[in-house]
Amino acid sequence: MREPVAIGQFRRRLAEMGCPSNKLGNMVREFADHYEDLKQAGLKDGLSERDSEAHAATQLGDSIFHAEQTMGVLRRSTWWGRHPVIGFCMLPFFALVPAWAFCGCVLAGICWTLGLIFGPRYTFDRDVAHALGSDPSAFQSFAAPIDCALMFSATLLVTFVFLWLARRASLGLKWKLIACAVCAFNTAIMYATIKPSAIFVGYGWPPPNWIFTAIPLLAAISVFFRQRTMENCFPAVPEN
Amino acid sequence: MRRTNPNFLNGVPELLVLKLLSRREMYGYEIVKAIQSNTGETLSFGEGCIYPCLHFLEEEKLVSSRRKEVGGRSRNYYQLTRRGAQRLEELNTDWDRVTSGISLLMQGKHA
Repeated sequence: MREPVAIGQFRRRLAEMGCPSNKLGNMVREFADHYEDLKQAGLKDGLSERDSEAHAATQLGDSIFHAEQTMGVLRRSTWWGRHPVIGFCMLPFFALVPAWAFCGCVLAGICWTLGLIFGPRYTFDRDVAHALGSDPSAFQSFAAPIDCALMFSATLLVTFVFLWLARRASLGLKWKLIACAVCAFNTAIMYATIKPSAIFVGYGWPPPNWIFTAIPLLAAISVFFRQRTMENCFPAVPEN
Repeated sequence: MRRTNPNFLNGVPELLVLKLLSRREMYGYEIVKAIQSNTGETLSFGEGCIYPCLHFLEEEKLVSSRRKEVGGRSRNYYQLTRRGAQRLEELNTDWDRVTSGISLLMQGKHA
């Protein structure tokens, strides 16, 4: 059976506006149920199949408007949806340092747990720390991969958290791309290095970490193509 | 039947939907029809108003929905949550306060 135009338009508009796929299916199904109810009511009133379909479409009204109203409601129902400028343009700037600290804590926790499970060979004892502290080149070779791993995981974490928040707030492609761009810029100018007696965190220009900017940019590309693929699954429906 | 509602009815669909759902679980089409019939066709909130309202209430956890098959057709039924019942009580109180205040003014008792 051919799908009514109104339902196709409704689905397409929801997809275009970035409706999460788990909600999209339910909403379209509910909309189709309503259309079917209106059509059945028309048939009960003695209308022909064709007339009852036209009657249902008229009663339903503008399906694109319904989709926009629904998305508006979904967006307004979360703080992130109501304040996307603060949430996706400003907050990513402040999120990278806590994310870096969090990843550092997780890494320390993993090392500590490994030490507990597999014995002292995996622990970072006082003697090793002292030896590394007194030899800057040894410390540099020890800390460089940790710096990289922390920055990589913090960037990944921040990017995916903000993308998840944008998806949860039913925000469209625009805000997801903005969040990725802000994360990329922030990652480019931020640096965090572990020194023997201190941790240096700050912002610098020219960008010290070009390589990490690739993570949010790759995420942005993947989000863009995912959105386009989703839209292509629901081709544009002509008015008639 | 009047097809357009007065523009001071902001927030009324929420109250009506919660009230109807406090009686029993219903699906969208049923709610639209129930509002028409229960208000003597004075009020008519269309699909473009009721569904966004239902989705908002669901996001706010005031109602919950589940797929249920009745009479050979599967539909999305909404039911009131405990939080929704509390919200309905608040809205009822507000509604009584506002309507009694407006009635007093309209009848000119406090001239």
